[in-house]
Amino acid sequence: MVHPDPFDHNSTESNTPKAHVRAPALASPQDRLAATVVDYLIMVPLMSLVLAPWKRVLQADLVMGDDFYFHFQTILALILLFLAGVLYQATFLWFRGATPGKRLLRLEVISIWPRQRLTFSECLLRSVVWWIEVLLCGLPFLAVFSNYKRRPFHDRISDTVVVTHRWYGVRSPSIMEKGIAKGAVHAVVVFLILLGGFNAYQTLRELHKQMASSDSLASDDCSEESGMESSSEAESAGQKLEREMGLFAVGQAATNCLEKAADQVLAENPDSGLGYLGKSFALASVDAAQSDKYLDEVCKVEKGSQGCEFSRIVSTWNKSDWREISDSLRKLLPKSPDYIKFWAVRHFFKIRDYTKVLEILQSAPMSPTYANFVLENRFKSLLALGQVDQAHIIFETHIEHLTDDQKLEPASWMCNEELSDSCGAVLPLSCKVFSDLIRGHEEEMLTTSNLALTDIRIKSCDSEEETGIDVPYVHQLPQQAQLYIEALKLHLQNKTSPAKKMMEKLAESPKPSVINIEARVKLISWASSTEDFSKFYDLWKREDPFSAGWVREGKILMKKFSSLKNYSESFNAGMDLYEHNVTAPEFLRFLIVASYKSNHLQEAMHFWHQLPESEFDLHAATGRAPASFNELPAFQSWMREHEAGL
Amino acid sequence: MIIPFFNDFLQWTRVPVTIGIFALNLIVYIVVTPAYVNSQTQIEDIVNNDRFLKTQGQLFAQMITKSKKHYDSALVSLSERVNDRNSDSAEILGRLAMRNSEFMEHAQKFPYRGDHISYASWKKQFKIFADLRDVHPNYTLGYSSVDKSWQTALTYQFVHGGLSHLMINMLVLFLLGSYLEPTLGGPFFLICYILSGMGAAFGFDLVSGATPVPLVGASGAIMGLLGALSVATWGKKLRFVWLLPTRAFTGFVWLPSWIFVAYLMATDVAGLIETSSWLGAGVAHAAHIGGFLTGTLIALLSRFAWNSKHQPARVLNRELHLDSLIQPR
Repeated sequence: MVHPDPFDHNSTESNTPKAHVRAPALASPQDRLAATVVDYLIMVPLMSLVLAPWKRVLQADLVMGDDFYFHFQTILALILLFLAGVLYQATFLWFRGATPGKRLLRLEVISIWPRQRLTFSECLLRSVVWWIEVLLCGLPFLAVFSNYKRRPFHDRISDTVVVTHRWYGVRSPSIMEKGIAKGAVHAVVVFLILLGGFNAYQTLRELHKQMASSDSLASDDCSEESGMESSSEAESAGQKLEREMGLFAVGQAATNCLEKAADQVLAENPDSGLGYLGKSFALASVDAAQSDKYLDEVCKVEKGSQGCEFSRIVSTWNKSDWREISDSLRKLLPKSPDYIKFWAVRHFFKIRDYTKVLEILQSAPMSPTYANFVLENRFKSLLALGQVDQAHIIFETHIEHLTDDQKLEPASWMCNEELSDSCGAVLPLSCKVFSDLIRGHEEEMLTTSNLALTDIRIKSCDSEEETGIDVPYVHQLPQQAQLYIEALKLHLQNKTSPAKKMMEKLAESPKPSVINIEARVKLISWASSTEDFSKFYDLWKREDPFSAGWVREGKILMKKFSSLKNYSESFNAGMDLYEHNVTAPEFLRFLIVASYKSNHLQEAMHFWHQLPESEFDLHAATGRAPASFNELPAFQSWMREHEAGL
Repeated sequence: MIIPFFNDFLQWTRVPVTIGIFALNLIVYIVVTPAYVNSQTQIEDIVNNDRFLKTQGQLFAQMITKSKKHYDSALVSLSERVNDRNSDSAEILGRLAMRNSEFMEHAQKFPYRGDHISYASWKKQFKIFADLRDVHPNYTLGYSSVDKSWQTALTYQFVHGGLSHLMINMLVLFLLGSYLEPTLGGPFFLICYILSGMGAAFGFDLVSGATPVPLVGASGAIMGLLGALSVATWGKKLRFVWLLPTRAFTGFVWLPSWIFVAYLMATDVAGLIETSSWLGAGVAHAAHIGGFLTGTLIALLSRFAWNSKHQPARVLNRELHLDSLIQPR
């Protein structure tokens, strides 16, 4: 049996009485687009009516932060949207042969077979495929420009064709139209594939990064972050807050956790001094005025308590004399909770009362959370007091218990500290630990200026005068560190003035950092003329004596003045340092030479009595403190020795 | 785009009342704007302050915990989260508290248990906020649970919250007014407008319960005009202009007037269903529906009252006008 050509209405129906009726022309793509727009306008209110109950639930889920139900309901709503759209189209096609939009534009969907109307299954199939095509970015719709009878896939699969009842229609697409449409489709497909590929690549990279960082990043959950024994269920809100405050004092707690703990305490007991103290700490860096108000409140709710005393110290810390603060802290210390102890450690470390720091740390709890803080302060204090061997015993016993990642941080600052005076002071252990650790995975680990700087300095010490500055991972470093290395290199190549300019820029940077201090120190050590030194000396005198790097700068200045035989200036700088609690033996020996040379004999004598070697001379003399150097024959030879060492 | 386009759209001399209403709206807008901008920025400073919101959320959570039965179950479970020290939830609840009339009335007297300092600063800012409400035009002229009277039900129609709000409302007012005013007659048009506006306010109060956030804008009254229009032209076809990507690009189409009813009711009913009362929304859908129903009712009543062959007297003299507007059958 031969099927009749479904499109040839004239020939198939030429025998019927309707033969004179003109076959409707194909609908133009423009009209079909317009019909879709009208349908869209009609569907929007209908759809919103259908989806309204879901939207209500979705909003509630979103506000409640209920992620699972939010996604579940969203998927449900999308399915519903799809079904409603299909139903809208299929119903209208079945009853009227056209959607309202098509009716407005006087289009009609007819079957390609010569019969009266579409079957419902055809209508349903057409609608479903139409919506799937919408999900494919509407690309298949472009077939209206290329298909012989302008039938995109949804028309072909359901044996339909869209015709117009207007006076104008369109013919089959011309070759050029087909070509343009096909070209456009290909272009869009290629573009989409590229876009998709690029997005997939980006997503994969992000995922990779997240996977890598998820191990090292602390989780947001406050109770997990503390890393303490899992006793958190049993502990009360007050204990939790005390622990958070201890963590805050050693610089490890996130302020939001501290605030949460403080809120918890205050909710249980609105008159808890500890709660207000915690709130004040949490707000200190965000809103200073509010933080002060909380400090004042502590004494209002708990008069005369330890917390009240402590809050008074904290609130006056910036304003009053640090001697007074030290006195009141000393009174408070026995029987005080951990957070006050750690706070006191920070205070005494800052004012360089290292003996007191060591004394407090003796009684400090040795939980793993605080270990790094205790270790760091104990080690640094011992170094500052000149007890190098002791320091290394502590380091050795401690570093064994740490993992590689944990080791890196303490090893770097210990190494840094030792190197601060000279390369000669490099002690084997901690620097060796550090070098071993970073070898091989420099790029991942040395992303902070602090670690990078340590590495650079070890290298420059290894190879004598800064020749080993060839840092392969330089591009990984923060910008400041990169500039610093650049300046060092320039200086090595004897391009002194550009190197100095770069360093000056780094030294003046408003954000205080390790590089900042390092640049200032380098500038001083590069200076050659006397005027330069006095300039730096004036600058140094104006700096805050308790700021980081102040001691290092002062020591280098002293040495520089001495090397120019300007002993009186050297003595002045030394006295400044001594007044601010710098009493390490190395420094004292230096100061004695400077005082002696600048004819400050009494001071020299005074400092001499503080040295360990003066013990011998006390015995040599007749049991009393010698009044002048002439009574100390040993001193003369000591002096000769050290002078030569300068 | 398919928008109604009536014949008299550009004949301003026939619509003095519409122009009067427009002028009144514009004058109110201009007079009120300096005070609006001033107090609105201050209110936003307070309302967008995290600590203020957090304390407010904690306070609201305590209020909810004390009498759980009075509040929506979603609010109750949100307050439980806040009591577990979830600070995000506290901020959300703090925002929602502003929409709760119970909270706005009794919050200052509620015995708050917790941090004295943040409560003191909350109280201070809340006081500023309460004082600002006496100056802010939206609160003084708008219709809210705090200020629920027939005066505010009248005045709120002429206040707008921003230039775009005013412009859109006025555009629709002109579209409808240019046809309806000659059809219904000036005085009846004005009565219909004002009463629909008041009906919108009371409908809003009735359906979704008045909130402390004031209701402002002419949209309720304008919806009333739409209701009147659909009654006046029921069963006939109205002229619309369309702008579509067809061969002709633009043209006219006559659509049945019930299209208005279907379209707007679908949108507003959907809006009404999808917004939970405790969450609130930017558009007062209940007011729209209230206004629409009032306008429809007034127009229907007038038909029965006049009983004059379905049209007010004045329109009968203007057959030419109607012919050009309504497609002859």
